[in-house]
Amino acid sequence: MKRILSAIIILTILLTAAVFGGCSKEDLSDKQLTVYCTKDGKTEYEQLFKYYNNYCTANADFGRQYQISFVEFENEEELYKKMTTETMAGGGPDIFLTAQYLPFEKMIGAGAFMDIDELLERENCKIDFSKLNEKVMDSGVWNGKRYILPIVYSPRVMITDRAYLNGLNMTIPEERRFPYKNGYTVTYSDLKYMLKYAKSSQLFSYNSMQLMYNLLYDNMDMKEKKVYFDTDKFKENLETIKKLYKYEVKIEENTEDQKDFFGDYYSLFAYAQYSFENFMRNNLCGYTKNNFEYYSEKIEKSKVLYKGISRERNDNRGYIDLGIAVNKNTKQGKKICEFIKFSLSNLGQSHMTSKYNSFAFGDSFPVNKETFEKRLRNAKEFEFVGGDVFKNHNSELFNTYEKIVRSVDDCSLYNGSSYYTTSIVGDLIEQYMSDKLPQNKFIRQLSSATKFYLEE
Amino acid sequence: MKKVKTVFKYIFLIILTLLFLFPLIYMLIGSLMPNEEIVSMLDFSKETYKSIKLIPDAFTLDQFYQVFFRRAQYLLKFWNSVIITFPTVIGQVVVSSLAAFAFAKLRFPFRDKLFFVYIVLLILPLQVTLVPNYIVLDNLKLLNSFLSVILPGTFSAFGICLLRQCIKYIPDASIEAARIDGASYFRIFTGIILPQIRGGLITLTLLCFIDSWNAVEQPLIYFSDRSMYPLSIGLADIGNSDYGIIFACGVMFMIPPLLIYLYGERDIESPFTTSDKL
Amino acid sequence: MTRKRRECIAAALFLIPSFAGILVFYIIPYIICFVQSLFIGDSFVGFSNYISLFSNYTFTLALKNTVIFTVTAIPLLMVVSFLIALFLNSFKRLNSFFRSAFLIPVVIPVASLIVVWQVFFEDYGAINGFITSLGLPKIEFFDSWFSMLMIIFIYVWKHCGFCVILFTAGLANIPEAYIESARLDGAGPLKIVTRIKIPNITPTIFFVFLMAMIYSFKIYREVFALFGDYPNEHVYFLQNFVNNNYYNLNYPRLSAASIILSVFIVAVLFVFFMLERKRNYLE
Repeated sequence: MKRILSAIIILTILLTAAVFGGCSKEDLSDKQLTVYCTKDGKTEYEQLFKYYNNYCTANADFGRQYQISFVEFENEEELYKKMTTETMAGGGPDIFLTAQYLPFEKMIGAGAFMDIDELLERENCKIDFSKLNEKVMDSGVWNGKRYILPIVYSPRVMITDRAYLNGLNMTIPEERRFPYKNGYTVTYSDLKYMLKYAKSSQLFSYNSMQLMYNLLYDNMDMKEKKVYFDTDKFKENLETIKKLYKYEVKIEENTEDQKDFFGDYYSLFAYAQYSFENFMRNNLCGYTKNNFEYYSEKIEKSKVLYKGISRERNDNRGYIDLGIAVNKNTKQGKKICEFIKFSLSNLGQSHMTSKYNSFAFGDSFPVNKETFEKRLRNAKEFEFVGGDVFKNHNSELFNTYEKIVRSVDDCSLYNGSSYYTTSIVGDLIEQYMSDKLPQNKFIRQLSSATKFYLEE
Repeated sequence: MKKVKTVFKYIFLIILTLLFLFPLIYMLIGSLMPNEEIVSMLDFSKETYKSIKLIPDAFTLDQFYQVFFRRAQYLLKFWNSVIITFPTVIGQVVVSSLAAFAFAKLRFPFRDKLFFVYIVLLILPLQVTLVPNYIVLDNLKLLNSFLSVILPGTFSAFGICLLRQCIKYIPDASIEAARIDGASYFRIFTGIILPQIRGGLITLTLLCFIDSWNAVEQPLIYFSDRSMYPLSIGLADIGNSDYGIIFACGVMFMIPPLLIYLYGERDIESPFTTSDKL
Repeated sequence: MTRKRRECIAAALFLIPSFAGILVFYIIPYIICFVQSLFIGDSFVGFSNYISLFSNYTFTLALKNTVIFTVTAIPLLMVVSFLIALFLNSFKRLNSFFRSAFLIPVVIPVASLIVVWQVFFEDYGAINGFITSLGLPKIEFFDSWFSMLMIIFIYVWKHCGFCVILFTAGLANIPEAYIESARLDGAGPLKIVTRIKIPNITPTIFFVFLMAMIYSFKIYREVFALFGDYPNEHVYFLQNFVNNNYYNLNYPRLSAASIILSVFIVAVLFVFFMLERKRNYLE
């Protein structure tokens, strides 16, 4: 009997050893860094890595093995399921990007990321953080550890139309009137008044959902695991955003307007009555890339640039456009450090935010201070517009923009949709927006789902 | 008086049966309804109460046409389902019946304790073992092959429990008699045990088939080649909007288990009483 | 070679295939799982994952709901299927169609069934239509403690058929003579059931209990299909917790929760086995 028992135990140990045996003898020196992506999502950050890969090949110290390669997936769900299992099993990609739909706030709690400060120290890699925008960099610090490294960021900005405001201001109470002052902060509560006279055709932006998502982020504290959905202010803002959403749906159904929208984006921008467009990523710098200048005089005269949309008047929040996190399972710390060094350097940052390439983050702002100044200088310089028209950007509107960007002192992890807003509360939001769920029920279910999600 | 009682009993029986059959009937009807009708049936935003609609306004076979001819991917996935399911079922029936025989009729030390360990380990929810299994399969170089779903699926507490119970009903005397005649344990197993637990075997086949036929998580995680995905993933993919297709696919999905069920119906009804019938 | 010896070897041979599989696909993963539950990230933390679990609101809620479900749904399923089995047994001759109809619910894929349940249970579904027509307030099945009732109903409905078949088989195995002699002694129908039928099918009862237990862990599929990843607080089960932590990549917490879940299962099964043991001695 004893013999059988001991035989079983030995067998177990042998099998365990055999199963684990394959783990350790991997030669990593030839392996490239990996990033997971979907086929559609790839284009967004492909440029950055392409440039880095070229840089590696050109640099004799690095060579091919320092390059970053993509592992492609058919869709988000597939990527997510695979990546989750692999990461928990001790593998997974080396680098995560904040632009991917991952539950970063949860992964931080689960210890899935490496503390980047620690990594840099271990690999003896020095990065001078005083040369970077420290306030923005600090928004990647959770519980005293640097889990997320912002690379480029954007301010929250909104552009609206003077004429429209003029008409509007006559009908709303004095204390709620909007000054025509560039740089004034617009809060969610102000939106209610802005909407008062909106006709569907006056709107050409499709981002009320984004607004909704940001409202949620602004009313919860991911680091402290708290939600503040049960306030009157929040309820009121919800209703406003829902109204806005309905206008947008109306536009979408109206093909005439849609033709306009796709036909001449910039002329519409110049002549439309007001827009939340700049609330999105396509900030002012983005417009300088194309034929924006042609309309710029008109824009200069008719538009007001506001800060926001924020929760409070004194908010100066922006958002991280692209940041990276490092998988704690990675054994290629050295290579990752080189990549981090590159992406925060003037060279890497200049390339990423250059207005001449088609990189998706070309409209964002670099965290590197030197690059940032250069970027603004360039934007102000004369631009060739077409024919023999040149235009100087040194205008009030642009100066305001600069001021707003400089005043950003904190960045949110997300802007618009994220894992939380799609996988956790996406269905709820959709039901609420399409009137299938009354508000009190929506808030109850939203709070409970969010609380569960943050607590779990 | 007795007649009245019998009538009531039969009425109750029919109501009871309908309660269990209702969703099936409903599904069959739904699969014949035009899509708009189903959508309107499931639209709860109008604030009017739904009534159960058993007679469609219009009949259509469009859903089936869609599934079989327009969206051929469902048929391709059907084949993958077959590749995954059949070996799993066969493997499970073989492995479970062997183990069940040992647990039910053979005496050996730690028998009950070992059985206890089996049950506990096999009852654990899927998510618990998904990740460690991934590690194991990765090291065995089995990932991205059908074996990665078939092998873990072969072992189940359910099968061992069910068959152990069936075998327990077989009187010890018949085994003892065969043993005295000099039959080996394997002979006893194939010659005496197996024929007598037909009901149990077919029940297990059916239930195991349904389980493996419905598996979604394992193929999704262990296969990286999309062309290997079974129909169950396709079904989960359809999403909430296309109810007509859900109904039609559901019906198509039900056909293989139903066939097994009809084939073994008599045995399944009484998995433990085959010996009486003989 | 003694007989005992031979039987041992035979048993070992019969068990090898299943044991090999269980070793590779269950025991080893389970060990990995346990080891992982002692770490956060790469640092060893001992049992602090377990301690933090019990101070976690969502986990205790999930545990509570799971216990409530287990102690109500399993006995209910057993009682209901036993009553149906008695009822079916009271017919002298019965078309096999009736008995097989009870197995249909298991065959229907979950995704298609959900649609049917929605028509029944939605706020403006058929059941609420009926209730309000009686002048009663409507019930929010998807957003109140009625959710738990609904899940229990679906569980009983779905798995009843198989348990009925197990019970009818058990009841059919009771020799007619026992019941006849009891009847001659003047025992009423209730007494026959409690004194003769139930004691005679104890092995079946234990077996049904085991099946009900295995099935109760599968109800998560329905919960997921009806409520999504984050159901309301009344039907938030341990499997939801485990599953969500899986997708949040919190493997340490997931494995700690799984270990606790298995301890829970072991406790219930242990009681069950002790009872069966006792029964066996009596026989």
